[in-house]
Amino acid sequence: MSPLHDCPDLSRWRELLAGNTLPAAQKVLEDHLNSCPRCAAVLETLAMGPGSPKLPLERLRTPVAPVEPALERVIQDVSRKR
Amino acid sequence: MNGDLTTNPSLLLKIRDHRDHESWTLFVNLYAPPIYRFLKRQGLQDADAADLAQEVFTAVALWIDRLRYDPQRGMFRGWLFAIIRHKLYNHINRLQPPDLGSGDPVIQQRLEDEPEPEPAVPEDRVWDEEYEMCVLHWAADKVRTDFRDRTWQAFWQTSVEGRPADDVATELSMTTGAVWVAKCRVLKKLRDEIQFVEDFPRA
Repeated sequence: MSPLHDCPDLSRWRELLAGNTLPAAQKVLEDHLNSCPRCAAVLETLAMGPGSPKLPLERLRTPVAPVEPALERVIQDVSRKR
Repeated sequence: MNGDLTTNPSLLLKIRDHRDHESWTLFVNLYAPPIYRFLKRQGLQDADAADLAQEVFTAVALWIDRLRYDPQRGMFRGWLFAIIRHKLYNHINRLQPPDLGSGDPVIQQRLEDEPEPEPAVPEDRVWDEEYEMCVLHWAADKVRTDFRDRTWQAFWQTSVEGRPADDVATELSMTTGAVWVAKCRVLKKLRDEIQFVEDFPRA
């Protein structure tokens, strides 16, 4: 675990998530994450949006059922009504 | 893609514009499946579920102008669920015959002896399941093409399959830190897309 004073500040993690970090700087941040679970947790919280409920991502394991004919008709009819 | 989602008005704001067919079509394609499937799981036949789903969209089109963000009333999914439930109960009330018993004490005793039915899954949980399935899959399909396969795999293996980042890193020949970055970038994009379709209009 890295000492807290070595941890990058929030703005650097935000920039990383926004894709605004140069490759060399990204490598430094990745190296830091290798040994700092605290910053990994911070990064995850920023990605999810602070205070946001956890996404039930395990639902992605279940494939979506195919669209039934009656549902297809609903989609077509309602889409046309606007 | 939707461009910069932080400046993009939410879908719920866009569908207020009656000329914006593209947003309305997206809204219908996204929300018709969970509405229809929820109604089917409440025991409705295909045709009834389809009719009621259409009624729900008619109500949404009518009331969306009045939808405002209200933390007391919860998220959009709750607002939509209130409409669905209202339509469903109206439908059930229309079907129910007046409560006229035969008065036969033998039949009454038999009815009382019937075992209690298994408690059904609460309807709000059924709605949450259907809603989350559709919105998550839609968002995942949308963002999937924005990332390289290894980035997507890092996200999928850690966030969906729940595997430790260290194991995934070894398998994908990445560092643990790179797995975290990949996972969190996909997560952020997913969150942005979901926010776009379910954020309350604030204007």
